[in-house]
Amino acid sequence: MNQSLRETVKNLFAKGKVKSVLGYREHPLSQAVVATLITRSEDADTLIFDDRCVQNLARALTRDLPLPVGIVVKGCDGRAVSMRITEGDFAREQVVAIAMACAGVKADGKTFDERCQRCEMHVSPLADVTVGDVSALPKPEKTRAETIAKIKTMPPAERFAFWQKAFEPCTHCYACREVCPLCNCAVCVTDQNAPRWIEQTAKPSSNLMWHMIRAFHHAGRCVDCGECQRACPEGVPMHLLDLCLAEDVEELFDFKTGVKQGGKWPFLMFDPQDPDSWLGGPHRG
Amino acid sequence: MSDHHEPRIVGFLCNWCSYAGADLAGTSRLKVPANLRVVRVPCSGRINPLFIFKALEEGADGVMVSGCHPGDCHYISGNRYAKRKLAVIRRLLDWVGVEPERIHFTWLSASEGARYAVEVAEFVEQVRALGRRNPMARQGVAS
Repeated sequence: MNQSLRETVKNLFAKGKVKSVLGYREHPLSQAVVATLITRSEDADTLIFDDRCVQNLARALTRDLPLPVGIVVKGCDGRAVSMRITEGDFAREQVVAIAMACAGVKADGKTFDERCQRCEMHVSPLADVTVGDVSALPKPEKTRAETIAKIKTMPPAERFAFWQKAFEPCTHCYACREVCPLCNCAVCVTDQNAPRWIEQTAKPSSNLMWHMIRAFHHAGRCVDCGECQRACPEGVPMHLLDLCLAEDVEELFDFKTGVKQGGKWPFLMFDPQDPDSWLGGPHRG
Repeated sequence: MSDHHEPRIVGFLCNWCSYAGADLAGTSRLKVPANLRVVRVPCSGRINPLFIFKALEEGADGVMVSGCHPGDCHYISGNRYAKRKLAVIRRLLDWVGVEPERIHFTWLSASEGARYAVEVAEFVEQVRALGRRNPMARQGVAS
């Protein structure tokens, strides 16, 4: 796969389709896989793609890069790039998606990540070129519904206790925010101090506020790359809450993030037929 | 201290309809429970989820949001956008384990003073019935 990736990138440079490419390379000293930006065709030989490429490079996309920029994307990363185009961060022609046939990645080096085990989109829906054999990709072993089922069945008090315990180790380091491909607010709400909406001290109420607002901002935007949870030094399962809301958004608005090109984020539009039943009545649990 | 706990509820009312409806309830000499503390907002579409979460964190026992009936928005469609946001806010609160009964969303026009009084009274009783403190309330906040 590395060889065909390199050929593809060289080809894109030769045809003038890209001025730079974001990809993965192996660090010469540590052998760790790191993100890299190349601007010359000959550097394409440093690019790699394998199951160690855990990072979501959509985070590194900025308009400061030499555009058009090529980006090596897994399925989830491609959805994030697609969402950023939908949100107007980039024009479609400014980004060239190099979609990899991704079988999943292994953050721990041994087993596929949880996100990959339930992955339904091994190849990016946004693809200008595709690299690798897309016919030989694994089927999902579990579903999102199974993942969130345990929360769904808890009574409210137990649910609240579950999240209190889950968020308890949070130190408000905001690694989850820094790594998220779609956390691009100019000033994050937690950094605003007049008024101070979310306290930055780690305590039960502010932990909950931060993770609730974080989840709400990602409702209908989260692409399930799971980077937040991977980056968390304390192992807080905040991505679980994103998954819960993703289910709601799909159910309410029939919207799956970054899959279809064009369209709008469901909160930026409405349907006059939206039912009032959304606002009340009995609910699950 | 007695065990008696009077619920405190924050109400976000749209300037153009529900707030005037609340005013009508007052000028009509209708009895409206004093448990509701009203915040006037320019439109239900102005309501940021932060408002609701912050009210709960600061110890409100319930939050009521009321805007214009769909189709009657002063800004044409602010309440329709609000409906989508509120639908997800409601579900998010449910996911984290805050009882959905603490949240009440409704549409009230400026002429519905009587209905306003009834809605508020019913909601206050609904929150009172939950009994215990809002779980989201931060430590140290008086209950």
